[in-house]
Amino acid sequence: MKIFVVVPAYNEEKRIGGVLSKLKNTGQRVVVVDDGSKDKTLKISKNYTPYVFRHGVNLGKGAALKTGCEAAFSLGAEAIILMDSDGQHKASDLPLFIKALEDGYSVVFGSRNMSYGVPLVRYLGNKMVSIMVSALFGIYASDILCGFKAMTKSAYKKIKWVSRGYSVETEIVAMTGQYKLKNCEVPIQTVYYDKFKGLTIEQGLGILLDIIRFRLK
Amino acid sequence: MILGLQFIAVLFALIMVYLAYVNYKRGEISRVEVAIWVLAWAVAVSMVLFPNTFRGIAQAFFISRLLDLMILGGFVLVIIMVAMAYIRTRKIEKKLEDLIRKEALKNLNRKNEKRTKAQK
Repeated sequence: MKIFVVVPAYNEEKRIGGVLSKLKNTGQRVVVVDDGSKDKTLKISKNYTPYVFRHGVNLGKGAALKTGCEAAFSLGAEAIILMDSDGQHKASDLPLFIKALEDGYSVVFGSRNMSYGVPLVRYLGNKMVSIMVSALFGIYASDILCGFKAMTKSAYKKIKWVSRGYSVETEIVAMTGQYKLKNCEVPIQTVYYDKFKGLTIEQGLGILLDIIRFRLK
Repeated sequence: MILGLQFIAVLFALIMVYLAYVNYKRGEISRVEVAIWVLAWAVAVSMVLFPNTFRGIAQAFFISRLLDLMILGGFVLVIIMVAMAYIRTRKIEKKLEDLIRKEALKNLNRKNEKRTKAQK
């Protein structure tokens, strides 16, 4: 199975080099989408992969992922793995996703060990979103906001998210439930380097409203 | 005799008409749009200057005071305008996203075209 790893990046010059270096060692093809960074993210990324694309202005994670996925599928990918560029996710977890895709799952969700290392606010927010999505879409993902995911080309064509920002993670899970795509979870390791990164309360509330919007879609 | 409040209201309406005209001259709004704005402000000025004429209309809608009718009308107008602005913003956002993503994938499409030609 031809798999590409899609990495959206925004102002990640400090960590993207390390992330891409580890990905290069795995031998996977990598697509990077620089989402309008103002630092050296683009330049650094070009040292590791020929597949680097740039948004002229910052559109958000969802839009960057969409560009990356479309590029990957145009390049002949049969499936893609979505991975964050801030070093939160480990390249050593990629085989888990690849195995699940090869076992016939259309969508694979990464799931962090919520009892270790995850900040309390994030844990509670995550649970709340999981319960709401479960009630509205009939799918329970234990770590809905985790950006480490994989999906096949046919699954992408069905899901094809419209969210431009962080709501994309929720939309992918919700649409997986809506279209009843075969899915599973794989346990992943996560490292939180930066206390202040991630979702704000305002973005969290936005996601809750988006869930209702997805239901009405 | 025109009261102070009426004078302020008329002055405000005239300024708004002038702004609409300036925007029309700059080509930012169409002739139809400027006409609608002038008409809307003309109605507002008429209501301020000749309240007794419009009192009957307010009563027809079971509204006791003319001012209440003006406030209600204003609210309706503002809600319509906000809704229209929201829809337009969403449309522009979508167009901008499509344009930026298309631009980002331009090189990929060129490479694919070259590859297809080479295969032929």
